[in-house]
Amino acid sequence: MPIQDIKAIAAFGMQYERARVEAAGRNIATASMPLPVSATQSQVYVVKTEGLSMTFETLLLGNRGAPQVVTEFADSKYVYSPNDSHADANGMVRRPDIDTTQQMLDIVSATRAYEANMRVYNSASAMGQKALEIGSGR
Amino acid sequence: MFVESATLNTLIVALDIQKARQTTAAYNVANYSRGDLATIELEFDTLLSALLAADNNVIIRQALAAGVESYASVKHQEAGSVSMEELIMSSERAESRYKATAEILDRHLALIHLSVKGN
Repeated sequence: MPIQDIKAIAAFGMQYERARVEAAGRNIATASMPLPVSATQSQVYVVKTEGLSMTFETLLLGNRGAPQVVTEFADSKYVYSPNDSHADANGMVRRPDIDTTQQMLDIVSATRAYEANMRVYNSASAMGQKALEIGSGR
Repeated sequence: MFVESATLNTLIVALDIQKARQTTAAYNVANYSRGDLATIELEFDTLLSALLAADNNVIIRQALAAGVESYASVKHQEAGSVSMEELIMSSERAESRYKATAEILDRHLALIHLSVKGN
């Protein structure tokens, strides 16, 4: 169980949280984008990674898939917005069903988790540094 | 010198234990968003007494060190029972204990070095 493994796990955690922020950012950017009235589904951005479906044991062996931001289909919503240039005859517009507040909360929690992973990474670095110092005084 | 060897082995296993704790903490922090956390079950007293009884038997020491690694990899627990702050604190505890143990090991090596020079 080398210290490099600990740092690799923390680095994987940072990659994952960065991908979460990216996905939430893209979702917020597309939240108010109008869709064709007939579209019952829209695309949302989610983070996919093999690493998170793995057990502790396999993750330790170094098989960590890089997190990727991918699109998935989700329900769209039909809202009343008569001033919108894309509104139909009834003043209704179809938009992606994205809760921007939830996406903002995701960004905040991902940022905090990123910082936590960074602290673990720094702790592992400090441990490695200390291990190198053993016996160096002689 | 026989006693020193046993002490060195004990200290090295203690370092392994802190490394196992840090690995578990890193896994838990990285997987916190997913909600699958691992716990580390270490029977340190058992390990220590077995180690002292084994004196400086390298094979037994290696088996114990391997045991430390397997202890760190077995149990999973539900998320929500532990906060991110607690996970970070466990990581920092492992780091400070690792540093303290490394410091003791370093001083112990210095003493052995002095006694070898004295002889």
